[in-house]
Order: sequence, then structure tokens, then C-alpha cells
Amino acid sequence: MKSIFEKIRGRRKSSALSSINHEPLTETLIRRALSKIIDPDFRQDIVSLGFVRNIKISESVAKGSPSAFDGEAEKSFHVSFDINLTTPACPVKETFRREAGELVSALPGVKTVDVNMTAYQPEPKKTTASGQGSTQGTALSRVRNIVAVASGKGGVGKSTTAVNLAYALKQSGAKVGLLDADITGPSVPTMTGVLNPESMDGNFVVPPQKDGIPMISCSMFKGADTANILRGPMASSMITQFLTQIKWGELDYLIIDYPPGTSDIQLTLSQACAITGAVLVTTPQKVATNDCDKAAQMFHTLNVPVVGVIETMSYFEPKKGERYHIFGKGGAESVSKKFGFPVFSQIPIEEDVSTLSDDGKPVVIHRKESEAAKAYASAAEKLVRSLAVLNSHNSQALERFSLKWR
Amino acid sequence: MNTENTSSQSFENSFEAPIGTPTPGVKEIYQIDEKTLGITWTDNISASYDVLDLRRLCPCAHCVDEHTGVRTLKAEDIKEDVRPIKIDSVGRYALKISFNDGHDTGLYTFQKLRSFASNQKLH
Repeated sequence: MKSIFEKIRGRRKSSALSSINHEPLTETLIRRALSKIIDPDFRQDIVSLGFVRNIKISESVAKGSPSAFDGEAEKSFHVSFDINLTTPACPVKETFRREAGELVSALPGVKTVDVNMTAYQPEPKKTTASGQGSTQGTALSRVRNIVAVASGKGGVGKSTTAVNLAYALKQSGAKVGLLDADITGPSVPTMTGVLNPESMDGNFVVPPQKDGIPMISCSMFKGADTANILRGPMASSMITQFLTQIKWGELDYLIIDYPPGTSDIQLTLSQACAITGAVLVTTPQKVATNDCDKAAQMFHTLNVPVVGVIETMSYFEPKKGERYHIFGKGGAESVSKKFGFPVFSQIPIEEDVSTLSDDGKPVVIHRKESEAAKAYASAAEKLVRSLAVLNSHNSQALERFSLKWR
Repeated sequence: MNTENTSSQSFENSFEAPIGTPTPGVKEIYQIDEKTLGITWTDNISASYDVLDLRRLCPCAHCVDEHTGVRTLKAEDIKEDVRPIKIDSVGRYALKISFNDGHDTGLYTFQKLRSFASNQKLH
């Protein structure tokens, strides 16, 4: 006890001196400087959060430095370290990089700084039950976050939202997959223009990729032009196959475009895998928000946290400042107030959103400057942040397990 | 304003816990002895369950009338030596127990499991 106390006191003393005498550049000094950076979501400094890793200090003798006249060259240092974030899509990534660079450069003797932004340690996801069980659903074992994009009512822009969220996440540097689970009305292939057929690897289906995003839609298995008429059990077994027999590989986010409503397929989807969080989509209309409430209640029953709600078709703005609320106002806000989850974004009505969707060009990358694209990008950013916070709370829970009785 | 009041009431009636407070998840699941299942929840509460009780409390539509909620399964219909074969996770909210009498349709939600544990203690 005593010796620890003394150590702390000793350290205090030396830090008090450091402002006068140049304290030698150490890892501790660098950590102390970096601990001024606070993660806005976890509300802790990045050093306490364990984000700072791999600090390396290399010494070089500076030529022509003023003190070289004194006969001894002043030491200068090159410092490099990693900032390991919880997701490659972290929206504050660039701020962290800049602040870290500035703080460390300001330390005495530091000449150059290399800040490496990384994400995750290769930590296997907890899927077994205390060594007794076996892993289940290996198709999803390397998927870190499974996001349900759902609505109570159809036609609210759920697929458009799912596609644009996927593209926005991809753009922020994450590995993203997209699963179109709308069995009777698949729209992802039209909206992304994915053409390549899937291929097989043993019992697994390898999803085709478009713009670096692996995508699966049931329309790939039956012609997109023929209607899928399926009874509950068949639809459910198709969905289960989607989740267990598709080789998604390593993904940061798997976006699932849910079919509208709260019945068989939605239930099966939430049973067959551990959904990390759900995003609800609604228009401002009461007929849509009423159904959105039902979706919220369904997810509550299934213990899937709803992370936020996105309002589509919020307003039409033909001229700057001239807004028409064609479908009414405050729909998402009312859902948000009732259940306590945030409104991620309000997406305006823009011609490009629908026409580009029909051409397979998501607005979030093909009309980046549009208000709709910005609103989608901002929703994706909020999604990333809420999932990171959620995961830090859930870190102890087993996700998929199977216990064999002996 | 009025509508807001009524809606928050109906939501309170329909749920045991408010939305936004998820039920704790399973931290560890293990077999204690030949007829006892143990679960440690993420809030560090440990609970044990008699597997015969679990079978007799099966919540599925074959054992409970879906419309009236009345249990149709009689306790004496279940043999004393019934045991699970395996226990699987279902999504984020339930366990599916496959019993050796061929019954595997019951989904035991975490919420229910937490309420009918035979023995619970906080670590």
C-alpha cells in the first residue's frame, strides 16, 4: 500500500517539475498529453478507454538546432502511436487524429508525429457458453453489428433508407453488407443495380458485390419479375437460410432491410440472429407513425434495442427556405417522445432520391451535395455512435450459444 | 396533449418494463447437475432452474391455450426423468429448449426466466 502511495506521490512531483525542467519524453508523458482528448460518446478520455496503443519513440539528432552551438546537440524525437477505435466508421476519427497530432507535437523535443487510426483488436466475438457449448450460425460469426431497418407500414422509404445507410457507412470506411429480407417485395437490386449472380462455396452462398458491398436479395433466387407467393413457414425457412447459409465474411455492419409490418418474417429474423439494434423508418403521417409504434413494441418484446428513428418524406423545399410539409409534421418526433429514442434525421422529398434509386444509384453517393444525401449521412453517423455505446453496455452478454445437456 | 397522455398509459399497460430498458442478457449458461440449469445474467444475478419445472411451465401453444392463456398441459403428463437435449439462444430475448420427450417448441423468454427462477442470488 505504502509503496504505491509513494510512487504516486513521486510521479506527481516529477510532473510538477516537468514544466520547468524538460521532462524526458516518455510514454507516460505522451499518454498524459493524449488524455486531454475526450470521446464524446463514451464521455471518457481516449487513454482511459484504452484506445491509445503501440507508442513508439525514436530518437534522432537534430542538425543545426540552436543548442548545437553549446557542443551538445539537442535531442529530437519521432513519435508514432495507434488510436484504436471501436469502429472504422467513427465520425470523430479525423478530429481525434488532428488533436492527437497537435497535442503530441507540442511536447518538448517532438519533431514529427505519426498518428495511425485503427479499429478493433482481433477479439473473437463471444459465442460459446462457458466452454460447454458450440458456436451457432457461423455465417454471421464475423459480423460485428446487425442492424434492422424496419417500419410498421410499407412504402415509407425503408429500402431507400437501408441502401443509403449502407452506402454512407461504406463511405466512412466500414465493411458493410446488405440483406434484403423483403421476400414479397424485394427492392434492393433495383436500387443498387446489383447484377452479378451469387456463387456457391460448399453449402454457403457467396453474395455478389456492388460498389464493395456484398448484397443478398431473395429476388436473386427467384426471378425479380415473378411474384413470390409464400406461406409463413416457407418464408421463414427462406429467411433462416439467408442468415445461416450466406458467406458474409468479415463485416462491421450488416444492414437488414426488413419487410414492412410485424408478423412472421420479422419475428423469424429477430429470432434467427442477435440483432444489435433497430432503426425505425416512418413518414410524418399518423397512419405511418401508428404502425411505427407497433414495430417499436415488437422490438421491445424481442429485446432488440431501437437506436433511433428516421423520418422520410419530411418536407419539400423547392426554393431555399420555402418548406412544404406535404405529409404533415412531427411524425418521427411523436414516436421519439413516446418511446425515448432519438430522431436520427429528417429526409426531405427530392426528385433525385426516387429517380436515382430506380436507376440503382443511391443518392448518398451520386448526389452528395443534396439535402437528402446529407441527412442520410448524418443518420449513418448517429447510428454508428449509438451502436458503439450500445456495444460497450452489451459487452458481457453471450450472443449466440448452444448448450448440450450431458 | 390529451392523446399523448392516453398513449403513454396504454404503453405502460402493455409492457412490464419501459421501452428502452432491455432485459439483461445471458452472461453465462451452464449445467449445474443432471437436472439443474444455471444462468448468470449480465447484471450478475445467478439463477438456477429445475429442468422438470421448465418443461412443465412450457409456454408454447401446444401447452398453453393461445386465446385464453389457460395451461392445457397437465403436470402429471410429464415424466420425472425428462431432460433437455440442448438449449439454444433465440435472438436476443429467449432460450429454446429441446427436451428428450420430443418437445422443442417452447421459447423461454429472458423476462419470464428471470421471474420464475427457483433460486436467485446476486454475486
